[in-house]
Amino acid sequence: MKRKAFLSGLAVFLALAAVLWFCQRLLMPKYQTGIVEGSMVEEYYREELPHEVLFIGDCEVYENFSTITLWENYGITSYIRGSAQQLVWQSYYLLEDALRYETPKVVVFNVLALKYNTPQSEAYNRMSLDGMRWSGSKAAAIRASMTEDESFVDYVFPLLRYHARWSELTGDDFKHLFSKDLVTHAGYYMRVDVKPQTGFPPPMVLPDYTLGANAMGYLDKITALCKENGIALILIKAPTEYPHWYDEWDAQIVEYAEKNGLPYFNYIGLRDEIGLDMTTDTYDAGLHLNTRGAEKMADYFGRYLTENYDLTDYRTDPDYAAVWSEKVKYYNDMKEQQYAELAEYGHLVSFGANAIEG
Amino acid sequence: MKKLMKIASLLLALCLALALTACGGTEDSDKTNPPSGSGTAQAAGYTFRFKGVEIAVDADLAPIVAALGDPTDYFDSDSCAFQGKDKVWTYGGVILRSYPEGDKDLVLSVELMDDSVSTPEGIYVGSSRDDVTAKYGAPTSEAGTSVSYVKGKCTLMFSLADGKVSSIAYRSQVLDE
Repeated sequence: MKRKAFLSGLAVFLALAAVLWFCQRLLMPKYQTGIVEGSMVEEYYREELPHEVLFIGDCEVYENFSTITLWENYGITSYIRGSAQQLVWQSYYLLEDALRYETPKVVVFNVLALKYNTPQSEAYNRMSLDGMRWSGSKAAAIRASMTEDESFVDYVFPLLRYHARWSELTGDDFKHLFSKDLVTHAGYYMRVDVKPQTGFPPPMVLPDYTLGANAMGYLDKITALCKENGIALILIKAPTEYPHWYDEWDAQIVEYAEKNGLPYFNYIGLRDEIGLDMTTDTYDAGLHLNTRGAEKMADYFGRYLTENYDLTDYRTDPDYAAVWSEKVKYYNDMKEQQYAELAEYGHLVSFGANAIEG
Repeated sequence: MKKLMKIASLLLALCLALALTACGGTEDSDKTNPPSGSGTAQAAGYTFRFKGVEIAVDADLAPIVAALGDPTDYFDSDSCAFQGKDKVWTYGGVILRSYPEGDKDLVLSVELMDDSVSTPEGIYVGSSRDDVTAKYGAPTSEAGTSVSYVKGKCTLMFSLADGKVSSIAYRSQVLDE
C-alpha cells in the first residue's frame, strides 16, 4: 500500500516536472528566423572536432571573419564563439566554458566590447547566456552580466521569464521545439547582400576616454587564462568604423598589448592592405562586412596566422576533411540561396531581421 | 516519504501555475525587448532651446524633430541583432542622438558643435573656462579635458581645448549606465 502510494506520488511529481520542462522548451525563444543571434552560443556544442583558433567577441567577429575561408585557404580549424553585444566578461566565461571541451592554440579577442564597463541589456544577455550549458562558468557569467531588473532564478528557470510568450508563439516555436537548424558556419553569420558605406555622424564627445576598470579587469583575466593554458592571445579591432573606436581607446590597447606581450591589430587602418572596398564589402552601410568582405578579411588574417603560429593544415586529415566538407557545402548552399533571393526579390527574404518564417 | 512526495508535487504544481499565469498577458513578454527599468519620463534638469523648441534629455524625440523640421543630415543604423536603431539628426552645429525605449525614441544627447548656438545661460563653443564657471559655478565633476554639471537627470558637459569650450553636450544619464 505504502509502495503504491509512493509510486503514484512519484508519477505525479514526474508528470508535473515533464509538463514544466515541456512548457519551458516551448516558450523559450528559438532564434531560428529573423534574430538568429540568440542561437549562436549553443551551436558551439554541436561541433564534432576541436579547433586550433577560437574567436571570442561580438558582431565584429561573427560577421567579419569567414571561418570557411580560413579552412578552404589555409586548412585552419576555427570557431567563432560570438554573440550579439557580447560583453568582455561574457567573452571570458565563454572562453572558460570552451576550455572544458578543447584547448585551441590561438584565441582572438575583438576589443570593441571594452567600451562597456557595466551590464547593458537583458535582451543581449539572454542571447549570450541562455545557450550556454550549465557550469560554474555560466553561473558566473550570469552574475557578472545581470542588469538591475534581472534575477538569477530567471536564468535557472527561464520559464519564469518567458511564461507570457503564450500569445506570441509562432510556427518556429513548435518546429524547433526539440531540434534547431544551424544559423552559423562555425560561428560565422553569413550575409551576401550589399549596402555601401556612405558616411557616419561625428562621434560623440566623451567626458572620459579611460576604458573601464571592470572591463579591463576581464581582459586581464582573458590574458591570464590564455597564458595558463599555453594559448596565444591576439587582440584585434575589426576593420569596421561604426560604432566609433576612439584613438584614445586604441592607445590604451596598444599600451596594454605591449605591456603584456600581445599582438594587437587595428584593422581599420589596414583596409587597403586587406583589399576591403566598403562600397561593395558591407551589407549594412559599413557596420559589418558582408560575405565578400568577411572572406577577404579571413584570407588576410589566415595568412598572418599561418606565418606566425604553428597551426596544422588539416585539409589532408580525412576526419577533419569530412567534417569540414559538410560545413563548406552548407556554406555554399546558403550563399547560393542568398544570391538567388537577391536576384529574385532584390533583397533577402529568409535571412536578416525581417526574414519570413519558412 | 509519501508526505514529502505530496509536498514536492504540490510545489511543482504551484510552480507550474505561477509560471504560466502569474503575470498574465500584461507583462512585456517580448523576448528581444525585455522590460526596462529606465522609464520614459521626461527628465528634469538642464534643457536646451533650439529654433523655439525646448529639448530635454530622455524626452520623446518625435515631437521635437517634427517641430525642428528637416535636418541637414540624418543617420540611422540597426543595433546588433536589431535591438532598436541608433539615430542621429544633425541640424548644422547641433546634433541630436536618440535611444530606443519601447516603441519610442528618446533624446540621448544634444551636442553643440559650433558657435552658431549657445546654452540658455549664454555659453557657446569658444567661451572660456572662466565663463563656464561664472555661469554654472563649480562643476560636479571633471574628467580629462571636460567639466560636467549634473542637474536632475541631465549631465551638461563642456569639453575644453586650450582653455576654451570646444563642444557642449546635454547627456542623458542612460549614457553613464
